[in-house]
Amino acid sequence: MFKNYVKIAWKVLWRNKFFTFVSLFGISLTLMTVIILIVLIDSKVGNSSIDPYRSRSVYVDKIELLSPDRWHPYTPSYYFLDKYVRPLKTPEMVSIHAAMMISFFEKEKKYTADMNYTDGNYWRLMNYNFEEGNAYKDEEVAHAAPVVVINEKMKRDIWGGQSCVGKYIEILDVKHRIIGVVENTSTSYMIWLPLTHDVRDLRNVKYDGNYAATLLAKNEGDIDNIKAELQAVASRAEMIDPARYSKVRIIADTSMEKFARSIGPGKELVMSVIISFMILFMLIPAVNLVNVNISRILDRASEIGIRKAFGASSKRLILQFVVENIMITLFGGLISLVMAGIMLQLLKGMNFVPVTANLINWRVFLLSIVTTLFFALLSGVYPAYKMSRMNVVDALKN
Amino acid sequence: MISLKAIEKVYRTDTIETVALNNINININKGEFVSIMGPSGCGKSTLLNIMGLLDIPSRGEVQIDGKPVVSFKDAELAELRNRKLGFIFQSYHLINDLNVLDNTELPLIYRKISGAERKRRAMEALTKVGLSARAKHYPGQLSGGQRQRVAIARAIVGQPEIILADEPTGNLDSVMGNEIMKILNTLTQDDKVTIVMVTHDEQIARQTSRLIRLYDGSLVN
Repeated sequence: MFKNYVKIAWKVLWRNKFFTFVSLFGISLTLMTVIILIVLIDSKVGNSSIDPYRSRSVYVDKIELLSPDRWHPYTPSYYFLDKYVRPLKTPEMVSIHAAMMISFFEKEKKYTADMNYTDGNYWRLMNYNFEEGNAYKDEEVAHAAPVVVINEKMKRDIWGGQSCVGKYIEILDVKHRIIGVVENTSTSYMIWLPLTHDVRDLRNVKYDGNYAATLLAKNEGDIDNIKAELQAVASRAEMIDPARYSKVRIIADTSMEKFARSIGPGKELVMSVIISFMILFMLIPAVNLVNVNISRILDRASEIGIRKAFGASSKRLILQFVVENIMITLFGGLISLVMAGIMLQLLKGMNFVPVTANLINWRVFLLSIVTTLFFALLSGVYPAYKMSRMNVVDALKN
Repeated sequence: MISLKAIEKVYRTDTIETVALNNINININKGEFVSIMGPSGCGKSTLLNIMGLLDIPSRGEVQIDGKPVVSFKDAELAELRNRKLGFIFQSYHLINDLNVLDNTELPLIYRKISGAERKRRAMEALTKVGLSARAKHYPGQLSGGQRQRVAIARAIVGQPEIILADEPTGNLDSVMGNEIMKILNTLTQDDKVTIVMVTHDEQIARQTSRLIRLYDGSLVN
C-alpha cells in the first residue's frame, strides 16, 4: 500500500512542478532556518569533538556575595576557586581557567587575540586537535614555564603557515616558547598560557576576580551531587569582608543552564520561548503549505472519489495524504540540510557562528528529523482531514 | 441481495428543493443482470450511487444481504464497498498517474494481501478482459474501449458479488459497447456476479435479464 502511496506522491510532485517548487521552497527555507537555530543551540550546549564532556560538566563562573539587605554578582577569583572548588570530593576533575583579550606585537604588526590562562586539567577536559607540538603539562603550570599554545590561524597569518613550534612570541612583556599549535575552533587568534603567568589576581586574597571552573562529574546523574557539595562548601566559606557580606552563593550551571542564563532568567522559560518561537516560525509557512495542499487536493478530487468507491476509508485517505506530505517534507528537509550546511559555512566565515557549530551530529540530525516530521504533520493533517471528508459522488463528478 | 425500501433523495438549496428519487422499492436478487433506464435527470445515477453506498438517501432504507446499512460507520461502509461491490463508471475514472496494473489492483491495496498476490490477481483480471499485454501502459495511452476494460478489470479483481455500472458503454461506439456487454454477460453467467447497470441504450438494456424504468425519480411499471 505504501508503495502505491509513494508512486502517487512522486507522480503528483512531477505533475505540477510549480506547486512542487513553491512547496519545496517554503519547506526548505523554513527548515533551514530552524536547523541553523538547532545547530547554534547545540554548539552552545551539546558535546562536541573539542568539548566532549560538556554533558557531564558543571560550570562555575559566577558567585553572589550576600548581606542581609543586598547581594552582588561577581566572577570568582582564582583564590576562591582554588580554595573552595578545586578540593571538592564529588567531581572527577576540576579545571580552573580565565579568558581575556590581549594585544601583542609580532614582526612589527599589532594583533589582538583571545587569551586563556589555564591549568593542566584544562587540556584533559578539552580535546583540541594539535596540528603540531602538544599542550603544557601540570609541572609547566606549577613552575610558570614560559610556554604557549596558539591556534592555526596565528601560525598561518604570522609565520606564513610554516612550523612555529620552538619559536618565541612576546606576550604581556614575557617571551614565551610556542610548544603547540591547535586546529582553529574560532575565526579569532587564540592563545593558551599556564595560569601561573597571570599577574592580575592569582595571588589576590579576595573572592571576586576573573576566573571560572569546569567540574567534570563522573556521570550525568552525579551533577546534582556536585551542586549540593558546592552549596555545602559555600555555606562554610569564611567571609573575607564580613562587615559587608555575610554569605557567598556559588552559581553552578550545566551547559544548558549556562546558555539559558546567558539569554534569560531560567532554563525552563528560555526553552519554552525557543520552542514557541520555532513553532510560531514554522506556523506561518505551514499555513501557506496547507493552502497549497488544499489546492492540490481539489486537483485530485476524482482520485479521492475512486479510492473511496473501491474501499478506502477516511482514515486510510488521511494516512495516504499525510504519508505524501511527509515525503515531500522529508525531501524539503534534505534540501534544507544542504542549504543549512552552505549557510553555516558562510556564517562561520563572517564570524556570526562559532567554527565548532557542526551540522553533522546525531543530535542535530535527530532534532532536524523531528522538526521536519512536526512540520509535515502541521501542514498535512488538516488538508488530509478535509480531503477524507469529501463526498464521493461530488468527488467523482469533479 | 440488494434491497431498497421507500428510498427518497431530496436535494435542498436555500431556495429550492429537488426530489431526485421518490418512494423507490427495489429488490435485486443474486446473479441478476438488471438495467436501469430513463431519460436524463430522472435519478438513475443517484439510484445507483445509493445502491453502491456512495450516497445516502434522504429517507428510506438500503439493505445489503438483509442488513440495513444506515447504522454502518465510515470504516464499515468502506469495507463493504471493498469486499462486496465493484464499480464501472461511464468516464472510466482511472487514476492517470498509475499504470494499468496499478489501477487494476487498487481495490486489493485496501485488503491484507501481499504485493505479489495483488499483482497476480490483477494480471488475471486483465487477462479476463484481454488487456494483459497493456499492463505497463498508462490510461492516457489507451483507447476508450481499452480504458473501460481496465475499469472492468478493476471492478472484478476483488471478486465482488455485485457490480454497479453507470453507463459503461456510454462513451463507446457500438462495436466497443458490444465488447463490454459481452464481458459483463460472461461475468453474470459464468461467475454469477450480480450486475446493476444504468444505460440510455434500449438495445443494450435488452441484453439484461430485468429492466427497471425510472421517470422523474419514480419507478415506472
